Formats: sequence, structure tokens, C-alpha cells
Amino acid sequence: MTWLAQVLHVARKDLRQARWLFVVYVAVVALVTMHMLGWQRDKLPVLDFGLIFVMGMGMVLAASLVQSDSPTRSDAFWASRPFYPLSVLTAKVALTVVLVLGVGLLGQFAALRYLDVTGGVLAAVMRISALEYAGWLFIVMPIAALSRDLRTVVVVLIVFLVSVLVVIGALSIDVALGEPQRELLIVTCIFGAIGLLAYLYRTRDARSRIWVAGFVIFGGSLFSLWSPGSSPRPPADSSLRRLTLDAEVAYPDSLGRSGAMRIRFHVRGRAPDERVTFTPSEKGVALTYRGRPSEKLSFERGTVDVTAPLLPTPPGTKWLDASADLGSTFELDLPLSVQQRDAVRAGLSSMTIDGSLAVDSAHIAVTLPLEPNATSGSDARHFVVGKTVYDAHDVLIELNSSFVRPSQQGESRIVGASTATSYALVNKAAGEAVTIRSHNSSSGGGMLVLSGAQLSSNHATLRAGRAPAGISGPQLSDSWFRASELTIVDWVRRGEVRVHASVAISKH
Amino acid sequence: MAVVEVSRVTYRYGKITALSDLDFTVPQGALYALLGPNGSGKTTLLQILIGLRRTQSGRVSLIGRESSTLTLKERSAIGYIAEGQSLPKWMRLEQLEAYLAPLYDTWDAALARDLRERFNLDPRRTIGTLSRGEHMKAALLCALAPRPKLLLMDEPFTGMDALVKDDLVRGLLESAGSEGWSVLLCSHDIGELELLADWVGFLDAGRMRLSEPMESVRDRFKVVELTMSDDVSAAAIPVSSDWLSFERAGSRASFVVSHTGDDLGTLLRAQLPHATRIDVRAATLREVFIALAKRPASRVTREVAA
Repeated sequence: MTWLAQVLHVARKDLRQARWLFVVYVAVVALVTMHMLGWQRDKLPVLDFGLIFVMGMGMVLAASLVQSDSPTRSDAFWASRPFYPLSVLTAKVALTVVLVLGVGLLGQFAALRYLDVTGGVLAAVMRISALEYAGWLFIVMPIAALSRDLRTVVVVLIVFLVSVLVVIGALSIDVALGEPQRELLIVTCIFGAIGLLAYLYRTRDARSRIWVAGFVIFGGSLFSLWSPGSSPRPPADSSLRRLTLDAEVAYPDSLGRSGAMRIRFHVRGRAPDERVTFTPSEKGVALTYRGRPSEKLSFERGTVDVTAPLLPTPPGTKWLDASADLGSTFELDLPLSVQQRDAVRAGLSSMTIDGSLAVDSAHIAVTLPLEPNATSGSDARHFVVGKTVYDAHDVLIELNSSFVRPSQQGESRIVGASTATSYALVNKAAGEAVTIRSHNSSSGGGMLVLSGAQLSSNHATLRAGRAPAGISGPQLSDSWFRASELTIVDWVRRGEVRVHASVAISKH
Repeated sequence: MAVVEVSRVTYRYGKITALSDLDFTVPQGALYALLGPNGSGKTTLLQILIGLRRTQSGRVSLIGRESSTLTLKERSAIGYIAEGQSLPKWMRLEQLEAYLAPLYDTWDAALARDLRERFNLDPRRTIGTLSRGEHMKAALLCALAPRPKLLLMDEPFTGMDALVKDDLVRGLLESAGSEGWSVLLCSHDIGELELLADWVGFLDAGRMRLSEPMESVRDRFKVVELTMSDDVSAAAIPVSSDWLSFERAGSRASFVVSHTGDDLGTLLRAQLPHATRIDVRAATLREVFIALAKRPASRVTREVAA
């Protein structure tokens, strides 16, 4: 028998031996995938955690494949027969990759496609899912090779998991790996595990040093699988250097009753369609007093929306409600203690403010007809219109959405990911539009079929106001709404620029 | 030519030494019985020979080649059966045969069928449902059907009834003789081994104490039974360090001694003038085994002298 023929021979035997486990595994993957696609979404909440069942069963399958022809047991049947050791191992690895990993990835792919994940995000999620799942499977295989039975595998796995967590906790290890480094470490650990398995199958040598090697690979794998991803900054955009921040303050008039100093800001250089947010630096306000030591203070608020430009609509569209553009001016209160207020009143010679301006561009995510169960999606986002309620003052629209992003990446870390969402109703026939706001919303996280992606789901009630007859405001009929499309606009981060403002001080 | 050559092999389980600097050979065509008390290292030795364990030092050659360099074809000429060997429990016997047959160019389906009938095994039964004896028969079938040149057997008769065992022993003798098989066999069933073996080895505490043809063992080891005159107690017998398994009861004593030649009676009469009767006969393999397995004769001698 040739080497390859032996691989197929052993694989056929393994498939036959583990056929019921495979059937159960495929059924579990199918159930969890169907659940992701909406089947029994509310009635079987336990399937929200289907990932645990899928990956747990996959690990049991991988372990049982190895243990059916153990490389270390002295009573192993295959080892006293004329088998190429590496053909036996190759059969196990091939079945694990093709059937266990492959079936899981098929389920993951179906769920992702249903959730409108396409292009780069789909590729990224599939790559991370494949690597993470393979990482877990190939952690288990050497443990199974060194253990006598499945129960021992489970016990060793739990003991190792707890040990690694304790070690990481005790040593306060807090290393955030960049995504490429993390993936490289997972790949290294997978090849390390396969190398260890190959050594065990070839030599049948299970002395203590092999356990040490296994522990190192296991620890490395766990570290890479659990390590938090670092936060790569948004891509640099040199064109954003055109943005500058002016600030002015009038005191002591600016010192309100609350004891805060109100500072007025103005952003210069922004384009009309850009959404700008300002994030002051920690201790980013430097106050220099006359005759007293200077000090650094912080604003109470974090990020501030500077502008909210009009949403993109077809040319000639008339906005029926008031312009949503706030302009480029905003105010922030700087809290001061009694002593600081006295110092300010006594005389302020200079004041500087440091922070950063972030710029987002509008991107129409989807447009949806205002009909119940209308669905649409793009860029890893999936929207479903729920019921629409028309009453005298408002139209309420229930909107369910989900968003998938690769795990280990924060929302803002993905190029092209949205940082905020705005909504409008556009009636193309009438050439009119109104902005609508989220009235209330609830959101939660979820799992897919495999790890490697985070699912965020959101239920929002959107409220479009309409003025009854005799009251100012858009007086829109139900038919106007029914002929409208819900336009969902994502604000996509273009970049950030650091700003430094010398505050103009005027004394009254 | 030796079909098995073991040279200076040592194997340890942690701090326990199972095989210590072991040397021995099995000649081609021999039916070699390997004896030894529990824990003497027999199973470890066979597992090393078949490749289930790696030697920690020393060299092992099988059918003329270093064991680690055996090709798959050469390995397929070596059969192995062990008492605790795990067969795939989920397979039916016919599936097990079908799984193994493609691995061997020499697989003899007719022999497999013949053995199945002789052992009264149902091919449709799953291995997991077989009794201990039937399990061993299935293992034997799988080891014999490829017609191996070298057969390594570790307690192959465990759980078998006397009829089948007898049948198997005869079958093995026939096959080994007619096909030139070499067999290395460990068993506690010394009576069966005595019928089968033409070579015998005795392994004790990881060392080979004896390895020679059965004829030589039969020639060499004698049982001596002494009766002393009434006025001389057996305690007064000057025990030689060569005497194994020395036992005494009143005026009677017996021991096993290694001696070649026909003059043992004459020598003993000269050495033991107070003996009224000296009977010498060839020792059985069981008597040799027990004599060798007991504590060394020198220690017995010291105790008696005290």
C-alpha cells in the first residue's frame, strides 16, 4: 500500500468509526446555523450560545480521531501493524481540517452571508474564524495524543486552562498583540502542535519533556487565542491638517453659577459634508494665572459632536424639517474649584487647549422601503424593518439591525466601519426628505457559529415627527410615508488630527 | 542467522529498570519460549521488538535489519499478539480482516477463513462483544493470516479453553515447521511451551539468565532426590552453591542442578556418603523455571549453613 493509499485507508476507517459523532456534529452545526438565519430565534435562546456546542463538539471529535489510533498507548493496535506513522497522522489531520473545521466554516459562511457580510470583512472574519477554530482543535489533538481517554483530555484541558489563566493573572500579563502578530502566533502554535504530533507518531516517545513541549504550545495557543487585540489608529489623512480649532472665553462673565468656565470653540477648514467630533486630551487645558502657578485641567465631557451635516440625498431634495447642521461652533464647560475661580477672577494671562478632531464621511448603508419585514444589508450590517405605527403626531418605525465585525478589533479599528448612524426618510417622488431620530434602542452582543466574529444586534424605534394641521412643522400624510424610503447613513471614520488652540481671552 | 538480535538494551520506567543491558538472540526458524516471573520485563521486551516502545539504549535487529530502519514490507513480515492488545472494538471481525488485508501482500484469506472456522468465530460479531478468549482468537487470526516470518506472542493462550489451545499449539507447530516461521513466545503456560518450544530463554529482573536450545536445557538440568540414612539429618547435607531450589523434609531432600554428562549420580554418591538413595532425573521446564525464579542458590546455601 502506498503512503497516500494508507492515508485514505485510515481516513475511511476513522470516518466509519466516528460516523455518529460526525452526524451529531453536522446536525449541531446545521441547527446553530439555521438559528443564526432566524430559525426559532426566540424559542430556543440556548442556541444563541451555539458556538460553544459547535466548537466543543469539534474538539471532542478531533480528540477522538487521535485517540482511535493513539501514538503513545503501548497497546495501540495500529502501531504493531505495517502503517506509515505519518500516514495515520495525516488521515487524522485531514479529517479534522476537512470535516470538523470545514463543516464549521461552512456554517459560519452561511450565517455571515445571511447577515450581509461581504468582501473584506467576510474574508477577515473567515480567516480569523478558521485560525481560531484550528487553534483550538490543534490544542486538543496533542493533549489527546498524550492522554489515555477522552475524560482525561477534558480534565487536562480544564487544568491547563485554569493554570494558564492563573499564571496570566498572577504575573499580571497584559500584552495586547496586533492582529497580524496574533494570527502569526496562532499559525506558529498550530504548526508546533502538528510538529509535536508528528514527533509522537514517529517516535512514540511520551517522556516528560514532551509534556513540557505540549504545555508550551498550549500556553502559546491560549495566549494568542485570548490576547486582546491592540488598537491600531485610524489611517493618517494629511488632508485633515487643514482643520484648526479656535477657542475663546470671556471672563468673569463666563463663570456661571455652576462654577464652570464656558469656552466657545470654532472648527475651521471643514467641508460641508464632513462630520467632526472633538475629543479633548486628558489634562489638556493649561491655565496660566497672573501671579500664581499655572495648572492643567480636564473637561468633564469626552467626545463632543461638533457638527452634524445634512445627510446625502438625491440632488434637489428638499429637507422639510429644520436643518440638522449644527455648524462648526460648539461650547464646552470647564469645571473649576472655588480656588480656581478666584484665581481666574484675579487674572488669567493665557490658556491653551489640546485635543483631537476626528472626521467622518457620510456613507449610505442601505435604503429600505417602509414596509414590515423589509430587509436589506451591506458592509456586514443587516437591517429588518419591524412594524410601523402611524399616529397623529409621529410615525414610529421599529428597526432591527445586526452588525458583524472580526473579533479582536474594535468598531473604530476597521477601515470603513461606521462610528455613528443617522436616519432619514426620503420621498423621491415628492423630492422631499425628513430626518428621523432614534427614539429608544436596545442592543446586545451575540455569537455566530464559530469564534472569530462579534455580532452586535440592535433594536431601535425611530420616530419621525409630523405636525398636525395648524401647527408648524412638516405636515405629512400616511401616504407620504408609505411612498418614502428609510435611508440609513453610516458615518465612516476618515481620520484624526491633533489640534492645539490658544484661547483668546477677553475681559469684561 | 538470528531473526531477533538484542544487544545491550536498557529500558527504564522512571526510576524502575525493566530491561538492563540485555543481550539475546532468536535463531531463524526457532520456536523460542521466553520465560520469566511477573515484572521480569518480557512484555516490555516484546513491545520494544514490535516498535511499541523505543529503546533508551542498545540495538535491536529483526530479520537481519536494525529495527528502526525496517521497511514497511519488512515490518509486514512480523506478526504480534499480546494479551492486552486493543483491537478496534467497534469493528465486526470481517471488517477488521478487510481493514488489515490491504496492508499485507501476503495476507492469506483462505487461512483467515480456516482459522475463523477452527476458532468458531462469527465474522459478523463486533470485536467489543467477544469474550476474552474469543478476543485472543481474533487477535491470533489477524496475526497469523499474513503468514508472518516472525511471530511475537505475549501470553497468546490467555482465556482459551483447553481444546482450542491444544488445536492452536498443534497448528502453530505445523505452520512453524512447514513455513519456516520463527516464533518468540511468552507465556505462563509452561506445559504448552514445553511441547512447542525448541529454544528457551529465562528473563529475570530485566536480565537474561538463560538462553539455549530446549534439548540442551533438558540435558543440563536434573532433579536430584536424596534420602539420607536415619542417623544423619538433612540439615547436615553440605549444600553446594550450584544446587537450585534446594528443599528438605526430614531425611529427604531435593534440588535442581545443572550438569552435563551421565556421571552426576556417581559424583553425588562420592560427595554425599551418608545418602542411602540418590535418584537423578531430567527436570521439567516447570521445575527449571521455578528453580531459576527462586532466590539464587548461594543465598539458600548461606541460610542453610547458618
